[in-house]
Amino acid sequence: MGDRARRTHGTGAGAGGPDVGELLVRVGRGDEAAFEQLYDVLSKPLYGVVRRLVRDPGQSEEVTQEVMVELWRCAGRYSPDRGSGLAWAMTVAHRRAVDRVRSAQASADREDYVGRRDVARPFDEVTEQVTSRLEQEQVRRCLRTLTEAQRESVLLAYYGGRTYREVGELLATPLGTIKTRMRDGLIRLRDCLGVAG
Amino acid sequence: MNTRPDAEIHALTGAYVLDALSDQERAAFEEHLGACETCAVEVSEFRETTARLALAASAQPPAGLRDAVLARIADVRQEGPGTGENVVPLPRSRARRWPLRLSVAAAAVLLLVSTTLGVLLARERQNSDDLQQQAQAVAAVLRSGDADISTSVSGDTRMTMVSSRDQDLVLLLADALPPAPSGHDYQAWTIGDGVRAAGLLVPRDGRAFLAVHGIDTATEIGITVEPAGGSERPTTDPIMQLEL
Repeated sequence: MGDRARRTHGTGAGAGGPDVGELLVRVGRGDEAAFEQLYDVLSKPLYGVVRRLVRDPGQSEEVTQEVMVELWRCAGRYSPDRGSGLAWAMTVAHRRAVDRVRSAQASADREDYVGRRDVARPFDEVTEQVTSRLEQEQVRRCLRTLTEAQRESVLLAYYGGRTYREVGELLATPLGTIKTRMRDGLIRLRDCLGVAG
Repeated sequence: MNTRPDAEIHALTGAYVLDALSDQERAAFEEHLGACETCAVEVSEFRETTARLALAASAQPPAGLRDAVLARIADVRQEGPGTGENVVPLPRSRARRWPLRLSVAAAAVLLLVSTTLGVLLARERQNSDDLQQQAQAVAAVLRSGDADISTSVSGDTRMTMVSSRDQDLVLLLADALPPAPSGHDYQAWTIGDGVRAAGLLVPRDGRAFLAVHGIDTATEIGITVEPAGGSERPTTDPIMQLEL
């Protein structure tokens, strides 16, 4: 169990594929062939997350491209003692996509705000697009170990790009509670998935 | 453990990894993170955890994306290890440019220019003399026969440039420009035979204005993210480049 979990997190998008961390190290040395493999391993989770956050297909494509180019540019910063390559790459990707969403909100469409309220709910819709069925099953099962309130807070932030303040407003819940829910929710998810740091 | 004075900031590990903090809170937390080993371990574990949420959301990207990405990296320089640790640069994309020389669209740009200036003027009464001068500079450039107006879009940021060789002046107006990463500023450069610092673009509510005097032989204006206050030479790749 623990072995499988570790293996999945080590190999990135699926068992048997090349290790994302090793690819990043090679990419950091300018290895273009390694970058092509990195694209093949990362593009689906990357595009999936960006699409959830950014929504608009054209912009999602653009942001995905930006993140891949960014990974090419700064792969030299990655080292294996900083965690798995997948986690590192997804950290870069998520932050970039969230920045994009927030700057778009700052400039205009506050009305879309309410529309994002349902982000936490249609997890089924998310998982429809999942390519790695095992991964999907395990994550879905583990998300069920969270309380509904924890799950909603975690997913509104991760897939919805909301700040904890916005989540607090949306759910009419004190900010201290939201922070705790996010942390406790991730602790449960971590323990269920058997993730090692 | 939770009774320590930093217990409250410690509780932000979850929100931090979910990118659910404001820029300021994020910066404060990162400072705390350097001194808190338990937090660093938790952050690392949470990152592995959210990576699994990413895998679970996997979706097939559009077919042309792979080739587009591979074509792009051909002319992107890699940076060495250990630079700009916590700085996640802004969205960058190849700027699209539409020259609007003496077209109907120029009227729309003119409207944008005056609106932006108007808003800035209303907001910063203390600097209104400065802005009056800037408004005059805009008027002078627009009156000159050779004013060239172009707009570039990078992400949501729209950069409008009005330039005049006769007046030896370029006006830059940014719209929906996100705040620079904490401890950093946007710096403009004129690029020609050499690279010259041309001033800082400081967004207020997403809007920024900069008049660049003395364009000489420059063929491009570049914008980079630099340590607060600006640098003597650019230290990062431009997030935006505008052809003159």
